Amino acid sequence: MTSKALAAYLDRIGWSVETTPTLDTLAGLVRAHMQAIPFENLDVLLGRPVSLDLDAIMTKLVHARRGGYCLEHATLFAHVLEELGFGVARHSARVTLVFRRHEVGRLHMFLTVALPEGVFVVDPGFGGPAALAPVPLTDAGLDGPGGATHWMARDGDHWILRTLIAGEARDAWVSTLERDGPADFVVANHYTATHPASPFVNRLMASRRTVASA
Amino acid sequence: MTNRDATIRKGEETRTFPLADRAALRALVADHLGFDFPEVDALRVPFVPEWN
Repeated sequence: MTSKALAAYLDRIGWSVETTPTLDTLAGLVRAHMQAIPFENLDVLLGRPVSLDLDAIMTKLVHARRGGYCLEHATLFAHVLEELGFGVARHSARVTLVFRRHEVGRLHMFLTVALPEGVFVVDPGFGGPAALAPVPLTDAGLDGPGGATHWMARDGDHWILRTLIAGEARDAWVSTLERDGPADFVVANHYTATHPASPFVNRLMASRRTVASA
Repeated sequence: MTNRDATIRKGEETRTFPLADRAALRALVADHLGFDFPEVDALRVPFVPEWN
């Protein structure tokens, strides 16, 4: 990502303060990103291709002030964090809010960020159920710490993002935390945007977190 | 927004309502997602028969 692209992105999310790679900066950027850039799949429903090329994502999410789905959000946010000096890893997960883990592919993209305080899960493209803040990658058990809306739980070789929905703790997604690369996400993106069984091909989905709803 | 159902949450208050038509969808996108969506008439949503 170029410095010019970074400046355009920061302007898009309304971020004009600290950019040193700290936990506070990360938390602020996650929140600002999710409040500024919506989650939506409208292009899929128009039959348009969805590109994970950074220039294409910049054109759509930043310059055209549109939104996108997880693969677009997480790809953009990873480039931003890397440009700012954060240590970022890209991962995929099986979303388990509707289906059981063996019924779904690894189609969701999220990030982990390593900081002196520990490793944090960052998930800017999960739409309505997403955490507005970095989630510590520590095993908080199925019930989680009191007062948390999102936490991680370990299940053997898997990590589960747990979240409260209508007061009930649910599995949101599950991941092995393997580091995935561009080819993995191209495959996930192709299925997500074009397969007749993909929820994104069949349903209209859109959301934005506003300051008031945060 | 899921298909034709829109939900707006403000604090503890939640309001869910159906979108009347494509024009209502375009207005909601402009008001809450922050961009104009003139291609709304070309949208095809298989799970919404009247928009398929």
